[in-house]
Amino acid sequence: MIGNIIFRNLKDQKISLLFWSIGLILTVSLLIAFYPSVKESAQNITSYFENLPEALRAFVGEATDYATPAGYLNSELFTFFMPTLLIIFTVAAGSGAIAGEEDKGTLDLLLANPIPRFQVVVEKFILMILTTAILSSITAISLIIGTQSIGMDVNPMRIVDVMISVSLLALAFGSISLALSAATGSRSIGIGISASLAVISFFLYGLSPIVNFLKDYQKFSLSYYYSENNPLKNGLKLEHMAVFIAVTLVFLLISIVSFQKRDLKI
Amino acid sequence: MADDAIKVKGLTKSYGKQRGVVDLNFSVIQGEVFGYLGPNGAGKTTTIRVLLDFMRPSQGQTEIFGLDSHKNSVEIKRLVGYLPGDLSLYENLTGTEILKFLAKFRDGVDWKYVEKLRSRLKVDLHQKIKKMSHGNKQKIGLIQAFMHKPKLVILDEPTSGLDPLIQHEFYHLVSETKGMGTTFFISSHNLPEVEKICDRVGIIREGELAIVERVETLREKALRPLEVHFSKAPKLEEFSKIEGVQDVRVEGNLLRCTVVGTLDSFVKEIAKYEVVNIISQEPNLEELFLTYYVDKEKS
Repeated sequence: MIGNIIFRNLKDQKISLLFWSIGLILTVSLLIAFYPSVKESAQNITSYFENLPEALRAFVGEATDYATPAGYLNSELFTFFMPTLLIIFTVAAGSGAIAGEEDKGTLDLLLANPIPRFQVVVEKFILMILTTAILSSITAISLIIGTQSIGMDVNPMRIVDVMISVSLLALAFGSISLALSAATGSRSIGIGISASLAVISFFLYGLSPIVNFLKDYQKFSLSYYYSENNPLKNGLKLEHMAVFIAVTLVFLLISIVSFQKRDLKI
Repeated sequence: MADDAIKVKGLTKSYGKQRGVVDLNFSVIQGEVFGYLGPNGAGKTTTIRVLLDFMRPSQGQTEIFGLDSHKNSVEIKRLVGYLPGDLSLYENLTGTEILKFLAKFRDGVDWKYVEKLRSRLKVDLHQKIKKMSHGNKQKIGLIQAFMHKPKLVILDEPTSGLDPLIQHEFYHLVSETKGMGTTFFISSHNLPEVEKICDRVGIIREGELAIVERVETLREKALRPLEVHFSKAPKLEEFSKIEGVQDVRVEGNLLRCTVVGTLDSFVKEIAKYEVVNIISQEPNLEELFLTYYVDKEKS
């Protein structure tokens, strides 16, 4: 039956998803609750950030814009926290998809059933999309409710945009993690390499404005396609989203092909 | 041949430094119980994993019901029930949850049959796997291998961890299911077990197939230790002359020896005396295999 694996795993993950959701809702609520007091001292903070060396400013996002609601959310949530959290989630999901079952030894039992190997990969991939979408939607909804209730001037549509963007970014890394662990059967290789790539990508993009020779390479950083257009302010740029989708699909394909070809571990 | 449930053709699988299997050739006929016997690490599991397309052969090919293990893998798995040697189940599910999950991949699993298997093997399906003993997990593994009534059942060390009573129940289950036309491929390192339930046996050792033989034929070739009590002392020389009779010793009225193959001429010889009692032990296949191995290594 198609969807059997997705359904079973969703059931298994419900507790874990519940705690992720609670964590995200609490973070968002705290952040918004602090906004009124932050706003009062925003002048000082803004000038503090303005006096930071340029190299540091690159990593705190639009700190100079701290006084505006969008600037506040960007620097507190979207520059670093949200992408990191979602990438941790997708990288773990991607590496666990095939190699996790293989480590536990349950893959034999699964593949003794009349299903092709690619179906397992695709169902696990869809599962990763679904669970990421659940977490993103919960975050987006709490953000919209929170900002509206205290009258923060943020366009709800832009919140949806930035959440779509950060989810697609995370899924791209999740898909890299899936491909690596499906090809090797090792969770650690999947997690290790894709998390390193995420860190490199973040630093490459953060440093490129101030390090001359990195400038030409910033488009190799996936963070570029997430942050460059500032989706919370300007909405989605479709070309940038297309890059995420293309990367994700390419690595899905690599996952399917490499998993199809290799021997399963005992 | 279409009659074969399993056909292994020149199968070699080597990986890294580890020895896999080397140039295996054998067939399993439909409807028979085939024992795949060998010590641990001989290559039994490797063979099974190639049959089920979990591994790809370095050379050669395997077929199940005439279908290629790799190309027709999905189709094959519709016809096959499988119990892994190193069984792992989803720890956080209950027995019922796992069986329902696995049943959804297949059409028409009859729950009355599952219930029948459950009560035969005496296992509580409501318990979570992580709370189950090794034996109970193994029973769940057996149920899932049988529940869709496959044409071919492949079992990798099926009785490990089962208590003798349940082992017995399992042997019953095999012979009953065999009666329904099911073919069995059972790997084991346990000789008495193979003797008990198998029609034919293939012995694998260090990746190579040593022998494929009917269990009865093996038994005929087997050494049979005998003790005969006479009313008076027998003459040693007369017994030593008989073909197939070895290690003859006489202790008073008692004669001890081992007989290979048919007992006919031996029985005719002892009939010349007054026989008080005959004690015959079951032929020990293990000894036969040892002899076989030794012979092979000498040559």
